[in-house]
Amino acid sequence: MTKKIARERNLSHFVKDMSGVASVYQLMSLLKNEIKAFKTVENPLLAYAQSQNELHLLFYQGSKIIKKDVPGVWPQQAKIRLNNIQDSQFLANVFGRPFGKLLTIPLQLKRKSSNDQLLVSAILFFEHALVGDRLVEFTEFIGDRLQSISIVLDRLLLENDLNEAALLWEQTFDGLQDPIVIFDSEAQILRANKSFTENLQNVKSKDLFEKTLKVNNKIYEIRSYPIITGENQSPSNIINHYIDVTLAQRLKKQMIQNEKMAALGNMAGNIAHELNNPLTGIRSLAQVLIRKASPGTDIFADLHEVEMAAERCQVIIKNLLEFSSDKLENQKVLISINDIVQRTLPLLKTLIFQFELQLKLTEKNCFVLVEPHLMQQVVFNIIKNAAQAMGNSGVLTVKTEVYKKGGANEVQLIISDTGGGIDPSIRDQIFDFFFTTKSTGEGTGLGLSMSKNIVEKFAGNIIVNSELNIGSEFIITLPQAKAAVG
Amino acid sequence: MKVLIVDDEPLIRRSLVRAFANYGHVVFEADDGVKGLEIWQAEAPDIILLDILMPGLTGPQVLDQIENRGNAKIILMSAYAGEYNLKKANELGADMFIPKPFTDIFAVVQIAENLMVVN
Ligand SMILES: Nc1ncnc2c1ncn2[C@@H]1O[C@H](COP(=O)(O)OP(=O)(O)O)[C@@H](O)[C@H]1O
Repeated sequence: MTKKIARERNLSHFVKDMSGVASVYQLMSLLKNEIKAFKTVENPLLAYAQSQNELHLLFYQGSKIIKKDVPGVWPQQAKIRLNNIQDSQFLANVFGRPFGKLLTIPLQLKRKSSNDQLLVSAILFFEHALVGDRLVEFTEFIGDRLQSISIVLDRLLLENDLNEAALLWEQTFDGLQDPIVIFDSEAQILRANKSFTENLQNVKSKDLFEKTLKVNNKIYEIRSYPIITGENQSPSNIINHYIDVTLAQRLKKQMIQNEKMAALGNMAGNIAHELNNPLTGIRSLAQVLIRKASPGTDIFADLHEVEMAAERCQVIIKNLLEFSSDKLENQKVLISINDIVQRTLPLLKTLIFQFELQLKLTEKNCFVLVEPHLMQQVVFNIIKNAAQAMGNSGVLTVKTEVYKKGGANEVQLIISDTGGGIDPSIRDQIFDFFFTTKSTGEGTGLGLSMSKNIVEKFAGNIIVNSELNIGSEFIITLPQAKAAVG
Repeated sequence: MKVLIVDDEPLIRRSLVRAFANYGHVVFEADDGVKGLEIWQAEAPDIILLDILMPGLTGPQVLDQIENRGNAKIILMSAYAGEYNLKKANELGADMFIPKPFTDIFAVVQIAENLMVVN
């Protein structure tokens, strides 16, 4: 009688202790304690499955609980069994040692497999040296506690699943690039993803509900999604998605700018054509009149000036037409790099007049095989950048050289300025598309990237050397074209 | 020799007229193709300088309508040199092609005179 009461009391203790268990590890140590009275029973060994082909094993190594994941065959038998050969082999395989006498207790968990089958998803193993009554006693002892163990394990595994799902959700939430935040109905932040914390943490809460948001050079469009969870119609939560439209807007601006430039180029072409006729008239008439004037007179000299001025205009217009032409594409020609420079400089006059220009053009054969108008764009872009970097005064050096490299010769064009230089932290980016440190209208971030493309198209390369507060130099190297005579 | 200049651009006409006159040639001018053809019939010039792109009749159209050409030489001129060249001009029945803009007006006179000398 007293024995039965004691048994009940012990059991209810155990059940109470079990209800407080928060992890499978705790469950293991509780079990270990519980069976202490059975001297010849080893520490418990718990196996449970969360999917059909993966098995988790919890066991003691000394006083430490070890968790081991094993892929393996799962002994699918729902009966309590003693010294089962299959079970011993299974454990021997996992642990690499023979097992002695074994009590195997399958636990009936409510968790279901993905195909909704109730499966034996956990097993308790006890290695022991019990015999006779002691063995019966132990089996009963465990049998009493089986339901409680099953319930707790069920709960723990379910929580585990939930935790994993929550973790997965959290990681997904944080993995989204755009800032996302969940508000409650009072516009208090409930959850915010990483991007939000990183980018919009310090934004005033009323701005978080505007249509667009400008923060740290980034532009966001805001989409709000009310969430209605309860029965009543008003939303309980609001999800705000801040779509980063910075790049999209920049591309759009760029496209408009490109179209403008194209239109401008067209217009410049038309104007150039229109100017050509009167200009030719001026030059021709000056030539006619020079013939009639007596050499040595002022009129003769002045007419000469007029004729030369007209000639200069003709050259500029010719270059402008070539520069803005798109018909010439895919026509590589032999041309000296000096010629390219000479053709481009007049187009830059208004940009560089305030600088000291040092022109050091080589006398050697510096012919290259390029599309002249494209190379002109390169020279144009780089000199324009140099001018912008120098501001009001400075020295612009344009130098051409020919070097021997291996068996071949290389033609170099070096454009250097005495501007502010390029910060080392952005030096790797200046050739990137749309990278610019200039405000809209001043820079597009296309100049260098296009230049690099063009130069590489002609089997050349472009490098930059720069020192802060001293200046920058851009070196364009192209293979020398053989056929021409310098 | 008698020179006819057909060009819609007044300054081009004027400078050509002056340059040829300077060398003692008799010069006629027309600012479009129709007038050019009238002068051709009335004066029978030795050489015609014909602009290709003109409102109304184009240079090649004018060339097409010239009858009884005899020994007369025809020079086509154009600013859109890309589309025209000597070969094309020859195919159209002209004797010479001069791209615009001119860099030396007297070189044009020289070319015209040379054409006359050849035959
Ligand atoms: N000569 C230079 N000196 C200093 N910085 C330069 C120079 N050339 C280019 N850069 C830097 O490289 C960036 C990219 O240049 P680029 O591609 O030509 O675009 P953009 O000039 O339109 O900004 C510039 O915004 C500027 O910061």
